[in-house]
Amino acid sequence: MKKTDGFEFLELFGEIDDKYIEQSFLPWKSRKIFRITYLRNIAACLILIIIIAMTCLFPNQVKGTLKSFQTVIERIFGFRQNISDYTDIVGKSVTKNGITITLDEVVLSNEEMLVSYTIITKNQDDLMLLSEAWINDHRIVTSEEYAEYNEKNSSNLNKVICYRFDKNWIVDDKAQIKIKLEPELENGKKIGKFNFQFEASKEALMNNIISVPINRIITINENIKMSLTEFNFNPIESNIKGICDNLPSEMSGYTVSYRLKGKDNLGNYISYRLNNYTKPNVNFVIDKRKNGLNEDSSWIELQLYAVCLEPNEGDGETIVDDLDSLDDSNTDMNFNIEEMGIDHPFEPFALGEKIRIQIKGRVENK
Amino acid sequence: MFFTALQKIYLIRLNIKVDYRYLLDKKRVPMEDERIVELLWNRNEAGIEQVSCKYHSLCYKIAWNLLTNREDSEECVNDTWFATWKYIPPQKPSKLGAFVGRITRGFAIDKLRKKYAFKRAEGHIACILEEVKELNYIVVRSLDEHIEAQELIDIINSFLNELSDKDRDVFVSRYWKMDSINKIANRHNMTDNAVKQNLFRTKTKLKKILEREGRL
Repeated sequence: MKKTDGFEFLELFGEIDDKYIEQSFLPWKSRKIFRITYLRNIAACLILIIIIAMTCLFPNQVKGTLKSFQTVIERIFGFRQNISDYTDIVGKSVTKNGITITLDEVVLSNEEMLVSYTIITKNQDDLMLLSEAWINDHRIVTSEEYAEYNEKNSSNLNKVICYRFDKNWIVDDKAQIKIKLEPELENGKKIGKFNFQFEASKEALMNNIISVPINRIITINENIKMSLTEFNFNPIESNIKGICDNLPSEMSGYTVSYRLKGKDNLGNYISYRLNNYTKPNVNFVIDKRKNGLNEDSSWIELQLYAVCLEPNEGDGETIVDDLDSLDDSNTDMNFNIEEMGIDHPFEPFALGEKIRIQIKGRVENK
Repeated sequence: MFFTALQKIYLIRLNIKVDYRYLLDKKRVPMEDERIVELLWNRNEAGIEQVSCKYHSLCYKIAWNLLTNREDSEECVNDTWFATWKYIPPQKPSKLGAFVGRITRGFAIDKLRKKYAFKRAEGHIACILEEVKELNYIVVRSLDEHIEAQELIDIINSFLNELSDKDRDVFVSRYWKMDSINKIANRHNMTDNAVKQNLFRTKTKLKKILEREGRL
């Protein structure tokens, strides 16, 4: 190779385009670049400050957003199985070993989740339903369970299960709900597992819910007072909750059942039966055999009734659950029918005065 | 390529006398390049006076950057006016500053070549020569392989065009104007090391391009 004298490149470079030479003699104008870089830094700082401020002011929302983002990423990479939407899961049926379970409705009300199912089976009398549920991976416990009225010889069994949960578990307004049902025959034979899993917004699950605090006191006798504290109405049921310290379970040796009966402002007949009494909490649930409560009703007027059940009674209006729900150990506070002047204890008799519950509007309950 | 020994004789024969007193006259407004070129084109000796008036400082700076010697630099500048008179016409430069600057730079390199023909370069220029050592080999090899010098210049021009304004300015300042690293760093508000890094990156890119084009 030819030996270099060290100036070949510099000599060649001397012949570059005039414009580059001219530019190099002009004062350097870097302001534009500087400004863009400067503005970029300012924008990045502002975004960072906003994120920190938002995190401090709205921690739950930020946590929720991050969780949603995490869910999306998990789904994209297949770490998380695809969960159905609430609207897709309602009405979904699962059939196993001759039993079909349909998820009819799910409702969130305060700290309760109500789930209604329809179970189609030939031998519903022998069937027990074990259930487990989770909200956002937190296990929730069953607080109440009852079967709705079904026509005789019907293979359909409508059940409502009420679960209690902590409302703090729904942080980002999104609830991932998993329900596992395990029907079991009386002889212990398991039918199979029925799983329902879905995701829904709190808003969708709390749609069409009316919850009214009330303060109505019914004086049953001198010693016993029942205080009704809360009226609820949702697509699954309507209930009235209250407190009574010593609700008698017997009258002169007969088992007693309680009901709240009356009419709404539209003239519809309404009846609530005592579904559960876990001292001191009482829970009256609407009886759907009647017309039920109308969505347009603005108030209801109810009277507390009691009825003594004859031994082995189990038909007509009397529901077996009523008997089971009463506290059998509470024998100290029995009514004395004669003292109360009740001639026909097997006929429903009124206790206390009528009460009116204002459902809509600002009129105070009387 | 450039005439050096005979220039003064030519200048005397052409009776061109450059009056340097204008350098002290701050109020004097330099003539536009187009008019200067026009004067030179029409063989008007005032053109040389005007060009020296306008570009003496620039040409002296270029020469000084390479030679770092007052007498040699002045000689290069004077040679530049002679060459300008000689080249215009037939050439008609659109950017007179770059045209005369290039001539000065050429003379200064010729002087350096002679100066360091039999000894090692020293000082600021030694650093620059060390930096472009590898590029020298590539240029020599490319020219050996029958690539025209103009072709290489086109490749370098296209390479410069692809560079960012900053990278290009740093590269041209160093290897055309032969500015010191410190001066470039001050001009671009950079550290000396950042300038060195920048030059290294740009040089590496150019080296790759020249090698690739040389093989094709």
